[in-house]
Amino acid sequence: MAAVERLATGLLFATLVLIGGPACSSTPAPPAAPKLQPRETFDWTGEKISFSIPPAGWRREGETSGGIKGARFVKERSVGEAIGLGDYYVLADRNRSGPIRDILAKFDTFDDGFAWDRALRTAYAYTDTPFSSLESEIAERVNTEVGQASAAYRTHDRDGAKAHLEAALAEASRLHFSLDEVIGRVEFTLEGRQNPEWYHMLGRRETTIAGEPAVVVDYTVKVPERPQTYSAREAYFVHNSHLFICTFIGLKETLPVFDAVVASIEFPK
Amino acid sequence: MNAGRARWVAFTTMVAIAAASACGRGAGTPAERRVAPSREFDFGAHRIQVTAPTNWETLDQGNQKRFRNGEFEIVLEALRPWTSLRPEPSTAPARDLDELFNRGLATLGHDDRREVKERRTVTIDGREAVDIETWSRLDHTNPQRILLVNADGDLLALHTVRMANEESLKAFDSIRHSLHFVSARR
Repeated sequence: MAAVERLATGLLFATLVLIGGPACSSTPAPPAAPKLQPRETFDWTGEKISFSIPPAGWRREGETSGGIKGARFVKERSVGEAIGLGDYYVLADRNRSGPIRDILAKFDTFDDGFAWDRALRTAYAYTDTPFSSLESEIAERVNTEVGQASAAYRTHDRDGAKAHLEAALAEASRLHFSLDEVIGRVEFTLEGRQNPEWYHMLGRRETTIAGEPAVVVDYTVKVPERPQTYSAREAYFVHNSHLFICTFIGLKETLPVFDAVVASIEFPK
Repeated sequence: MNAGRARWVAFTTMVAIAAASACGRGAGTPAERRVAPSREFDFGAHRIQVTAPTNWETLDQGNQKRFRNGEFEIVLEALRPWTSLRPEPSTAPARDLDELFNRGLATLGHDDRREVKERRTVTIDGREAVDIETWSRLDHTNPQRILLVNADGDLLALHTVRMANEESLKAFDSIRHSLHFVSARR
């Protein structure tokens, strides 16, 4: 009988070790990685970007504010959490290569009607608030060539008009922007906010996203109408002279979803 | 009640029932007429047989045939003739299909806010066609379907309108598969 009792005690001890061991361990298991949905490729302003979509339960919407064209994913049945990814079209529009290339592709279809004038208006480069001295220089040359193309077309010199447009395209194609040149226009700062007292800056770090140099800014937001203090993170990076902006606002525990989405970003060839 | 009065009551009752029936169905403009779910439609030189899915009503509005289910709508219509775009109907199909695609989308109001998600070259009852799926460029929502058929030089389009859901996209496929060119009067 004593042997049976010893065996039962031993089994009980072994069971307790097996069940209780992991629970008493000093290092908790790492949280499971967010399960994202399959990646999709977006083309908001002429540069394709691909990333995995937030998990089920995040509603998607179009984003067109703040100079950004992109997508916003809003967590449903939550306290107001959102992830945004977008292309800063204010910068993308500075490069007129696309419109000029379109005009050249359709050059033979234009007659003396309004279509030519309407198309040519899209070829002129912006000259206000340039992002760099290179942009100013190129914009001036592009506009000179486009103006000469217009003048040549008015005198029925189609070959001359086409040659000037090709010269304008060559100039426009030289334009490029780096993150350092453009980030100042969009980066989060307390001074840039209407109510800076609602925000608390946590940090700024440089990193790499999809192989491109990037800047990540962390801060918190506490608005009077809401009981929670929200975590916020913004990431900025440039690819092919397109400035992409990723934003998160929500609960701290949801940040891994944002980080997983950002980590999945790729640029399709 | 004498026989004359009985006939009068019966007549007015029939008129009232007919009027109520027409109003209840939202008869719309005189040009619209309600038709059976499955029938043949005339599009100029073409006569096309179409079967509407169950629970989808069909309206013949001349150049446009509308299939409706609640707020969802699918339209089969003849776009403007595009014969001038293809001087030799039997040659250069690839170039013609590109033109078909571009002109058709432009005519249907496709613009930069929407993006072509998928484009497939298909054959509809022996005619070359392009089957297109579009969605919102920004967030990839609001899917729409467009089928452009080169009907012997005329451009026919079958497309969803405004908004679509899983059921209306299935209905689109059902109508698309039922398209049959009965005759072409040229």
